[in-house]
Amino acid sequence: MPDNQWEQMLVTVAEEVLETMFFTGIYGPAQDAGPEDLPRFAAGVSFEGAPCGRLTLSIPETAARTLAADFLAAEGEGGLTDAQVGAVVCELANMICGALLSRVESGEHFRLSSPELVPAGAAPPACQHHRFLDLGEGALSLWLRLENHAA
Amino acid sequence: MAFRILIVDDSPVMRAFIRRIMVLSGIEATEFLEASDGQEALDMLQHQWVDVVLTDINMPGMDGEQFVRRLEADDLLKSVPVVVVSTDATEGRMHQMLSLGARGYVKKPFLPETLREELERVLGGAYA
Amino acid sequence: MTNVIVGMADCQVSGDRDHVLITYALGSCIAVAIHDPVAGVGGMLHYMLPESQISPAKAGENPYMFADTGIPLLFRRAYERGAEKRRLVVRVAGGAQVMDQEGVFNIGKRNYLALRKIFWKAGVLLQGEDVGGNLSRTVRLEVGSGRFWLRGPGSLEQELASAAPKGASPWHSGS
Repeated sequence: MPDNQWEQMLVTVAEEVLETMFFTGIYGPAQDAGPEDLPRFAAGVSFEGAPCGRLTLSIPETAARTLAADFLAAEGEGGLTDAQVGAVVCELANMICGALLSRVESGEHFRLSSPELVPAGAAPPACQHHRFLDLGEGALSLWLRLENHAA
Repeated sequence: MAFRILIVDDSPVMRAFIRRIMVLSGIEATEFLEASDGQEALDMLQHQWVDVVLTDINMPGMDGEQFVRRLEADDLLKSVPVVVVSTDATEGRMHQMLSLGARGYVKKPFLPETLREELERVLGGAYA
Repeated sequence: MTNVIVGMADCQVSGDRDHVLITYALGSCIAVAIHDPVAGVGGMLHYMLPESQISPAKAGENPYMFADTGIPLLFRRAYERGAEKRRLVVRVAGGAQVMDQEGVFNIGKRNYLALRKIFWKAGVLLQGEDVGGNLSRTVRLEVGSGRFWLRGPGSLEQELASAAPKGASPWHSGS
């Protein structure tokens, strides 16, 4: 599959997940991930099948707390623990990854690892595809690494 | 009529999301049981009856596919209706799980009403 | 039956079984129709924008302009007439992308997402929706029967039966 098709699919599924489960839209592409010193949550999901690889996402803490409050139907962001926010960010990564792989229809079942929080910082290594999406409260950064995959 | 619902998903926040939909759907639930993988769910089912199971597929430990196979292999448990709730939206996986005995399938992401309707269909409108 | 017009940024609630609440030309705006079949109360809100924070002064003058101020008021007015939340049948229509809008995140979709967020937090599920697309809608709610009808430009009126929205967000249905 051409590179730009992976990236377009990444945007489409991220938008679908955010709109459907978090009632949040994307304002458009963001230029980059945003200020490096911003507190963030980041999560990664590995996958096996055809293809194999890993999806990593990163989101500023303020945006993550808003998404978590929306998902959990909490009245305010302040009442949520870091663990709750982290769990929601993990589930966001899980759903985006699963929705992405579901569009590939490779004929082979894909398997997802349990999503895990990862240190938020520089972009993960060896990722062929990435996109930054403007959520209004900051950029959602998505990185996709495909292994043993012919484009 | 009161129902006992077992939600099987390794994400505690997804279990909470699903639980909320069940409550808002007007299902009179006696009790919500939760498990984080298929083995934990099977262990629970050895000791208590449930009216419906909602299960993810991709879970650590015993995944949803193995879990449904084990339910169908049990003379008693195979009568418990299972609805799969999964990010796997491929035709192949859906066909597989329904062939293994699942009675419903909801793809993530989903609107709350979609899950409500699938549960209504599987339970035959017997609730509320 | 007597038509009661719901204008733009307007809300009408009635307990008169003879009334039909009707609102026209829903482009990117959204109509929220609620009905309690036991209390015989119906209400309709026609709002234009998602969030009042962009203009608290305007929201103060007319709360029905915004989803976050109009929707709670619609429900409250229905409760005052004897409606109960658990009995309410809720349907929504509108949120079209009008032709002159630019940008990825159009007002119709933003109106819909705002409504979804408000309903999810308030614990309200929908019994029907007809949203998105490019065409303007006219909708009416019969207070006596609870039946909800909608019509696009140049098309026949159709009833929106109580049926759950399907799948994912309407902007991604079928994808």
